[in-house]
Amino acid sequence: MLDYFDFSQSRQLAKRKAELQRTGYKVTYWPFVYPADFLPLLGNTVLPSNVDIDGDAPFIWCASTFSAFSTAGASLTAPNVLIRLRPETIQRELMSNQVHLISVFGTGERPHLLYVPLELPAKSVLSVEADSETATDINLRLSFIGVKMFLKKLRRAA
Amino acid sequence: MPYQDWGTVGQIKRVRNLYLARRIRIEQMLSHDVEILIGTLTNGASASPAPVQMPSDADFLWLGNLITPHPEQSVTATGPAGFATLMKIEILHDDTRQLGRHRDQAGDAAGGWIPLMNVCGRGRMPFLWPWPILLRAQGQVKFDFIHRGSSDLVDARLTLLGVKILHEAAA
Repeated sequence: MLDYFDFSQSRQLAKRKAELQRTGYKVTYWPFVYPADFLPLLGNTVLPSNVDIDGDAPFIWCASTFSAFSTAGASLTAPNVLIRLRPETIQRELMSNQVHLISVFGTGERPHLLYVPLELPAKSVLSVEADSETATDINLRLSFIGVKMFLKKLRRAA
Repeated sequence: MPYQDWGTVGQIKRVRNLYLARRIRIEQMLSHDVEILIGTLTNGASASPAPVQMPSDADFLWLGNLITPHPEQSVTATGPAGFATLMKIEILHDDTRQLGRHRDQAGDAAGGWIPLMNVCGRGRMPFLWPWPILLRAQGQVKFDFIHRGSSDLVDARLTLLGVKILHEAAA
């Protein structure tokens, strides 16, 4: 049966795990959260930030969330911020242009899920660019949620 | 497409198969919540409750997180109340592992802080990890919190939701 619209992430993770196991690896997934914080994101300013993937394991990015606050500490549900994301290692843009923050980041209650989880190699860099479209400064914390993929070679890999 | 479809049922089935493959008979799987009382935090205050002890009679499959009060339950005249609370999670069994890392745009690494709002939902829409974490019986998890909000965080509770796996080896 064709799994149309079935973007079940754990099924995709399980499939990836099975693929690697067939080539002789033991795979352990460990949920992990990488941050990109803009403290503060100055009004009407474009700020870059890098997410440096740790050297101990590749990271499979599954979802993204944000929280934003005024500098006085009040919660902002839809700050007017544009975002651009670019994984440096694969040299491919994830979007044709900047997109609005709330189009690609959700909250803990409703995270934005990637239809296909994106595998970022160990020691790679995900570039994040935040473009504030308002005059006021805000504090913005982005979370990239996924799993670290620990690989252990069981026998000679194919 | 069900919202936030992490395929939780499939994950639980896979864990059950893991036990079967190790010839461990599962006696019962029960929905279970582990409650962590954060208490009241004023701006800038931090809390480091004692590590949370997992049940002694069962393993715990940690699926996701809930927070109460949720910021949308405490709306002020200027919008939702400040809720800029950060937490650090360390799994203390086997080798100690953190679930997050903090690095601000200046590259200042400060060790594992995650915004609570980004990884916690509430009952009607819980946050679920993309892959569950299997904590062994009597395993421990350490949580630290720091609050940076415009208003106090009052009587906060963090709930780890999951499934208790009672099996013959743990009894």
